Amino acid sequence: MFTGRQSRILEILLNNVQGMTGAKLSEHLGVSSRTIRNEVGEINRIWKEGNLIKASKRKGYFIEEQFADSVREYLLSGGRKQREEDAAGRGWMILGMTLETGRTDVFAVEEELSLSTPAVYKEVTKFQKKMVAGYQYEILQMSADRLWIEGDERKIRQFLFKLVKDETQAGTNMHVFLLRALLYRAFDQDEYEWMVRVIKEYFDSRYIQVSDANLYMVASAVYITMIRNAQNHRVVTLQDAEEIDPEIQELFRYLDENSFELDDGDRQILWGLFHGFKITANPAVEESSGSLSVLVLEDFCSEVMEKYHFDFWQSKDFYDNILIHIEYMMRRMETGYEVKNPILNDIKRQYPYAYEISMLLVPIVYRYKNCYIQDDEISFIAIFVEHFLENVNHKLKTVIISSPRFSINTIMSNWIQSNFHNQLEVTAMIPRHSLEKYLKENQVDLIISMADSIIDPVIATFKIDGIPNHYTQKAMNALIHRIRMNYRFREIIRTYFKKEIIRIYRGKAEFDQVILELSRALKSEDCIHDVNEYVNDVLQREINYPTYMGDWFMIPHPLVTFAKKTAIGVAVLKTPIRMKNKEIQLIFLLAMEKKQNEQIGVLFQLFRHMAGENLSIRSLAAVETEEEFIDVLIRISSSTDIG
Amino acid sequence: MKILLCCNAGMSSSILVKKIREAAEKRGMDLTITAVANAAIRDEVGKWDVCLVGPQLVYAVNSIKAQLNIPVASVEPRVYAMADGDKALDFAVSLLEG
Repeated sequence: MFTGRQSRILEILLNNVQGMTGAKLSEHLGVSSRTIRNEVGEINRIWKEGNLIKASKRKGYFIEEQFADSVREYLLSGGRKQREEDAAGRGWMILGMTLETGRTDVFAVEEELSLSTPAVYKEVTKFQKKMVAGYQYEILQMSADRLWIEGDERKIRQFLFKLVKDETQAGTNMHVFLLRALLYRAFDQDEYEWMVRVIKEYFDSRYIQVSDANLYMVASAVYITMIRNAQNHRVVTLQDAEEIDPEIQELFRYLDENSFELDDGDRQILWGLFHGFKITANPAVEESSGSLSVLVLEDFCSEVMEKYHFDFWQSKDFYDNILIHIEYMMRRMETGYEVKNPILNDIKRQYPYAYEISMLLVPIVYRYKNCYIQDDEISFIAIFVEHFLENVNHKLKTVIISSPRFSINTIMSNWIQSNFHNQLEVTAMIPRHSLEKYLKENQVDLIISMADSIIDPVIATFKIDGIPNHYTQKAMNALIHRIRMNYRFREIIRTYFKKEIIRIYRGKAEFDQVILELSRALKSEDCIHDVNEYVNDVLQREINYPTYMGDWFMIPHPLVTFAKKTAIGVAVLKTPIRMKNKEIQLIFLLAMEKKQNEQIGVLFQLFRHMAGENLSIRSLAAVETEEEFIDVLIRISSSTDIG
Repeated sequence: MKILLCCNAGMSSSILVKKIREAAEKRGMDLTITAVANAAIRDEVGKWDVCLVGPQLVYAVNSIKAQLNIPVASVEPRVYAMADGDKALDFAVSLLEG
């Protein structure tokens, strides 16, 4: 309600309860005392509850005491912001006036905004600087008393969309104010609200969940397009433009039906904006196309595991969410509509660790895209990572075997708390003799001991020899890494190896028969489409491309037939099948979906490793039950040092 | 000419590599060819003229292209299944001439 200068006057008077003379005030604000008089009059006129500012000969101007609290409240809540809005708003309004026909002059602006000529020059220069800093685009040009717009209609619209994008995504509800300024006389509040309703109806009727920000952004962009067209600022259609995705096509069709006329050029520019935001029902990542964002995320996960020993794969929800975010982020890098983050600095300050981890993404994306992610976008990733560290990450449940010396115990737990609080959770500190009982009743991932280096056959033990130092820390990190990798292997193995598709052949068996039987098992688990098609492809392929790995092990798989669901059938052959001088004891029949799957890559590494040393094949061939097979395979995976 | 062949496990392609090499020798072509597994593709950036992928990896063509920045295409299943080195070589040449 008050202008910037008026708020400033109120602020000064609030801080000087004893009052201040007009001369002093004018000195403070660098304006004439006449202006001060006018402003005070204006303030009292706006304040409807009586004279807010009184004047006395002795004190000068002062604020009536009964209003002091409400004035303070006003200044604290919105006053400061209002001032900034006014200042930013003036630039937008000048731009809006110029945009209407592409040119205007300083006098028209003076008239419209009731500003003096120098004030107009100042506003324009300030605005130009801001646009160059924020958008690298000198859209508003000024020479002598003339103002005009630089750039073709495509560039202008893209720029307007960027303004709208920043304002809507900031979620401050300022975008209507922005639209009103930019569209100047053409803006009609009712028309705009109707536009929002129509577009909301589109999303609702298709059960698409969109954020407020995205709804207003879409509506604003379409509204701007309509008005620019109505003002005859037409855009040229590009011939070699990228294809518009079907779901956004549908939105355009809907707009057509509601008689918003958009030509191809309009659509191309709108698509550029829409493409980078989630306004469609399906998650944008097409699983079957081997999307680039999957590669980026996989690299990111691997590096996070490598350098920080966190397993981002452990939660599918987390993985899927960050994947969608990365997909849109990379699209925005392409289209140039990157999102700003108003709390970027807060995030850096409050979540430095998450931010540091997120920075790993920068070189990865650079490798694929040849450009760098902006800080603002990184900070959004950091929010995901922070959430992971706080809420998703499974901290390793750790038991410390207490030392007879109390002080050592304190040192140990402090050391863990200060170095590994993201990784380890100490669930108990107990004497050695109580461990057995504790392990029976509790799940434990890690035991820390001063005396023994191996305590349990399965649970990893970390032995600390003395006061922990730099090397102890490194060793602990290495162990955490190994435990996490083992868990990852265990999960992968449990996902693809199921006892229903494991067969143990005790007598003589034929290769073709084994493949047929395993394929039937895969079929009954709904992993493959058609048994005959699958079997023929597998057998055909063996002729030209045999799948031996080493002398005892084979991994047959089809060349062109894809599976419904990725899975691995197993045949354990107590009586080896003799093929081309090899004595096959173990067959893994692979059924693979038509999509990128990094886990299968990990398994291939394991298979190659197994094939290289006969001990693991032999121990797998020796199993008596299907469950035992899976256990042994997990054990083998955890004793191999890969990945 | 430098051809990279890529397949899932990196196992099927070695035979096709051999056949393509033989085909090139017959034509007197100067050819470097190697096979890698999909997972190892990121180590191959900048080393090859063209990349062929096995039919099992048809879904990965775009992502491999994005990584290598060279022509990438999947070998026709019949050519691949028959390990037809001549046809595969023709295909690689046609990709490069684009």
